[in-house]
Order: sequence, then structure tokens, then C-alpha cells
Amino acid sequence: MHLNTDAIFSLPAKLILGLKWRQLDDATFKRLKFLCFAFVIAFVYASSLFLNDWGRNSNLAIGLDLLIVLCAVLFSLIIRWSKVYLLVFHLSVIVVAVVIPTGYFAPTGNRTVFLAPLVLLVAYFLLGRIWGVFWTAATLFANLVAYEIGRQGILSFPVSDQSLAYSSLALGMISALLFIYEGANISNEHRIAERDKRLQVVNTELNQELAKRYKLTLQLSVEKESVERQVKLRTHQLQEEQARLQASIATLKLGFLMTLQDGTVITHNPALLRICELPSDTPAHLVLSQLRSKMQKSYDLQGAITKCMASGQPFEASDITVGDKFIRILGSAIHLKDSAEALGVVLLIEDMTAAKLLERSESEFVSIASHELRTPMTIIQGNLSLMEDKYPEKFTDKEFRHTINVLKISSARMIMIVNQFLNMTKLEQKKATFNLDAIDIVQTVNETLISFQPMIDAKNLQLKVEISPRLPKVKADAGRLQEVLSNLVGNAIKYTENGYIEVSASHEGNHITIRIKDTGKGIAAKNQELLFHKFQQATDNIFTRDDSHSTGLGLYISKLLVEQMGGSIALERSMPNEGSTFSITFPEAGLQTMSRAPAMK
Amino acid sequence: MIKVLLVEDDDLIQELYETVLKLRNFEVELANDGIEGLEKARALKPDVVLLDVMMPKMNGLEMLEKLKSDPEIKNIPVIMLSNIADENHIRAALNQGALKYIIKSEHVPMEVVGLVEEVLANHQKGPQIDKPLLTD
Repeated sequence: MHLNTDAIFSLPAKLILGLKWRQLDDATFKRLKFLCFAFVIAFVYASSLFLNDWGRNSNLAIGLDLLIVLCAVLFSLIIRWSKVYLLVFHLSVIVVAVVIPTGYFAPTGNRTVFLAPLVLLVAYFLLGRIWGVFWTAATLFANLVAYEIGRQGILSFPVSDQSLAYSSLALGMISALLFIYEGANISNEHRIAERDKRLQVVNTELNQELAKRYKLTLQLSVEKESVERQVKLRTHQLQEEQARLQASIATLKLGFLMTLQDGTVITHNPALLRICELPSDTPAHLVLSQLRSKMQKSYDLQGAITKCMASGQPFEASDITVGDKFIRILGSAIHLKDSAEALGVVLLIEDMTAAKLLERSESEFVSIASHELRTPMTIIQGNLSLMEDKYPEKFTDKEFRHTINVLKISSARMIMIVNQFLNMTKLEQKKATFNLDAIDIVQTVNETLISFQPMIDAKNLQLKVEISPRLPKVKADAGRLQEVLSNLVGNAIKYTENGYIEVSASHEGNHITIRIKDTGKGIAAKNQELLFHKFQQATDNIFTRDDSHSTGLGLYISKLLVEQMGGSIALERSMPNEGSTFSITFPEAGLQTMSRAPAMK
Repeated sequence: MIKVLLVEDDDLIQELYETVLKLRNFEVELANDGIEGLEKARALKPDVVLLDVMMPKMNGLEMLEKLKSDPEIKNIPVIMLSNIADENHIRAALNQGALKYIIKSEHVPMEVVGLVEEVLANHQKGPQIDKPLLTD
């Protein structure tokens, strides 16, 4: 059978400590285990002595007393549980100071019986425990009595030493209980005092902490005030700035609109509403959508905005109609400094109606004037042509013939100029018509060059023609193309004194490019920009003429013609005294590129 | 002699063409506007009408329309003689029944007369349009 020795040794300790044994750590419990065990054994034996054998083993009794006291003291040193300590102490005291002396020593007349209770009395007195004083006094008295009785045999009644022992035991126990109760109070008070002390410390620390925190809070509130003041100031500054900006935008004559990427309108000005014919009380969130619908027939505003924000590139669009007006839109994306993403878009809208009408009326004026001029010119030319028939005899005179000839040439030239003006205004007003067809370049070029051959020969120039044989056909108007080629070839010949004129055509991508190159006087870089403008000759002063017989409209008309046929024209390169190369580019026939021809038959 | 009714408001132009037409043995009648032109067309029943467009009181296109809706005179060949090279006018005139649309400033008067003779010769062969020659 396996005996749990640990359990047996632990039992006394558990009994004495009660439920509190669990609160001890293992090391402490171990020490107490054996101490309690020893104590219990001693106590039991002492009790058995008391119950059975008074007289015989006095030395053993003393030894056990001492052991019990020792155990009690050690116990109290190990754990400072006042309650338990006192209980144990008290029990041992009862045994030592009361039971054994009273029951044993007193009857034998041994004076040491008074020693223990006396010591205890003093001790209790010093501790200030009244109850302890009382019960030890009682014990002392009881011992005295027992001693006297044992010595003198005074009492007349048969008081047995045992009943004396029992009564003093009872007394002792009662006062012991009282003492325990008091002791508990003492110990409680001790604990409370200790706790108070600890609380004091904690309290002090807390107060210090609070003082620190308070200081910090003060600092914080000072800082906060300062920050608030700054914020107020900054807000005011920003508000001022914003007010200035708003005022500037509001007074702009151009329409202004700023919108975020999601379409929210941040700012717009009255000019915008006015120009685009929106009511002046249009709510901000509807401005953009209203604008879009106003323009939708002639322009996809949303598309342009989206593209602008995606690419970051500003855009410009002209000739957009809104109601009766012509407007021009400039758009630009808003970026944060290093960010690629657009925050939104700014739109500027300009009312071009006046400018457009002016342009139109200028064109119409020229058109009307030209028509008007034709009548008298017809008359002049007509009459001149009849001169020979009317005055045959005068025509024999060489001078006379020459004069009439001069008049004829001049009037023919006048008619030519007027026709050129009319041609130009028709193109400008987009009233010209084009027969777009698939055209064979080779044929057109050759036809044009035939009429220039005499001029080329007269100036002793060389003519080179370099056209790839298998060029695809070009989508253009044959007659108009000839006009353009005549203009370019004519210019090339006009401005070249020696060298050659080269006409080439090549297939590049989806386009055909025709180049007219000459080795003539070339065009200075600063004048190159003005080339395709109205009335510009290749000099910077509008009154300086390159050539007495030119109106300066040739390239302008050529540009209008080429662009309205869906192509493009440009000066490819030119160096003064080296020559110039002009190029015109057309889309291949059969491929649909953006056609700008206004009307097609 | 072929009788021509020249309907033209400008007196100098009138004079010019009258001279040339007479040189080529045409008989020439003159009218200064569309109203006079219609009256004279009805009264004189010319062999051909030369019709200017820009005229006071009634312009050439209007007169042409009225002429072609009058059963008495609608079969008289009409040749437009104008300086307006507007495609719309040209098309309108030809649709109304004019046989040719001549732009005055493009031809010396003798050429014009030549064209008239040509048209009269080809009377039945349908309308033609004289394209303006634009040169630099």
C-alpha cells in the first residue's frame, strides 16, 4: 500500500492554518508543515500528560512546554498572520502557563509556577492589552490559590487540584478567546496602518504625478491658444486671398469655370453664364451639365475635358456654336506640383461672335465688292476688245495698238485679281464645292507642268519629275489640285534664277506627299511663319513686294483649298539662297480620314 | 435676223452687248428690269432672251420663273448673262429652264455672242454651265 506521507505531514499545518494554507507559497508551507507537526505532537503529549499522569515526568513536561513555545515563536516569525499566530501562541501559553503549572506545579508547592503568568502579565501590560492583563492576573490568582491549597491544605471544601486546573483552564480559554478577538483587531489595525502607510506613499506619488500632469495641461492649453490664434490668422489670410481671387474671376470678361475630376463645379463667373446664354441664377452644380448640353450639337465638351485630364495637355477649340454665338474654349488641367494626376480642369470661354462676324463681314464685303467690280471690268474689257473692230484704221498705228494692248492686259489682270478675291472669300466662307474623286497624281502633275514648260525654258531652268510609278490614287478635286500645284510650281519658277525645279510624289503611310523643290532664293526663317497668311509675301513688311504681279494670296488660297480637301500643306524646308521645298499631303483614296471638305458632289 | 431681247439694267453693259450683237447681225431689243423684260417678251416674242440676274424691281431669276410659267412665252430660249458665280443661282436658273449661264467677266463680248450662237444652234441639246476659270 502506497502511503501518501506528504499528506500526513501536511495535515497539522492545514488544520492550524485553516483555508488560508492555500495562500502560502510552497517554500513557506514546507517550513510550516514540520513546525506544525512538531507542535501538534508536543501539544497532544502534553495534553495526555495533563489528562493521565500528573506527578511523574516533570522534566519532560518542561521540555514539551519549551518546545511548544518555540514552535509558536517560530510560527509567528515565518508567517505574520497575526490571527493564527495569536491563536497558536495563546494555546501554547495556556498549556505552558496555565494547565501544566496549575495542574502540576501548584499542588507540588513549586514556586516556578508563578513565573510564566507573571511574565505574561507584564508582557500584556506593556502591550497595553487589558484583557490580557486580566486573564493572566486571574491565572496568577488561580495558581496562588492552588499553591496555597497544596501547601497549607487551607480550603475546607474538597477542591480537587484537577477541578482547579480545569477552572483556570476555562478562565484561560475565555480570556484567550477575548485576546484572540482583540488580537484580530490589533492585527487588523496593524494591517490597516500598514495599508495606510502604503496608501500614503501611493497618494504622494499620485499627487506628484497629478502635479506634473497639471503643469503639462497648463502648457498644453497655452500652446493650444497660440495655435488657435495662428489658425485664425491664417484662415483670415486665406479668406482674404480667396475673396481677391473670386473678385478677379467675377470681373473677368472671359467665361471662367473650374471643375473637379468628378464634375463638381468649384467656381464659375457671371461672364460664363452670360456668354453661354445660361440664366444668371443657374445653381453651381448644374452649370457644367447645362454647358455640355448647350454645346452638344457642335462640340463634345465632356470628351475634351476627360481627355485633357488624362493627358495633362491643354486644349483649344474654336468655332463652337452656342445659340447664336461663336465661342472659343481653352481648357487646362489642374495639377498638384509633382502629381501626375489631374485634380480638375479650368475652362476659359471667349465670345468670338464679334470677331467671327467681323471676319465674315470682311469676307462678305470682299465678296460683294468683287462682284460689283466685275461689272465695270466687263465693260472695260469688252469695249477694249471691240476697239479693233470699231477703229480699224487707228489700229495700223503701232503706238495705238500698244496702248490698247496695255489696257487689255491691265483689265485682264484686274479681272484675275477680282476672281482670286472671290475664290478666296468663297473658300473662307466655306461656300466652295469640291468634286472629290480618286485622282491619279501623275496625270494631274503632268497636266499642270505642261503649261509651265515655256516659262521654265525661258529662264533656262531644269525640270525634274520624280513620281513613284505605282502610287495609289489620291482623294481630291482634280481641278483644285491643279490650282494648288500651279501656284506652287509658279512660285518656284518665279523665285528661281538658276538651277532646277523638282516635283516629286511618294507614298508615306496612308498618305501621298507631293513635293515641289526649287533652287531659288529661299525664305528667311523669320518670314517662314507668315507664308500661308493673307497678303503676305515672303518679306516682313506688308508693303514690300516680292513680285509686282502678285497679290500675296496664292499660298493662302492654296492652303484653304488643300485643307478643305482633307489634306495639309507646309513649307518643308527653306534656306536663303539655297532654295525651298513645299509639300502637300493627301489621304489615300479609299481610306476614310477626317474630311474637311464642306460640300461634296 | 434673229431677234434678241437683252434684259440688263446697266446701260454701259447694254451698250456693249448691243454693239457686238448688232455687229453680228442680231436684232436687239432692250429691257431694263424684269417687269419690262416680261412685257417685251410677251409683246415682241424674241428668238432668244439674254437675261441678267441683278436687276431692280424684279431680278432675273424671278423673271425667268414667270416667263417659264407663261404658256405664251415659255418656249423662248433663255441664256443667263451675269457676273454672279454663285452655284445656287446657277443651279436655280438652269433648273428653271435657262439653257446656259454665262459669266460676263470671263469672256469678251464677242465670245459671248459666239456662245449665244452656239446655244441657239444646239437649242435642243439641254442645259450647260459655263465654269469660271480661276487663275492665279
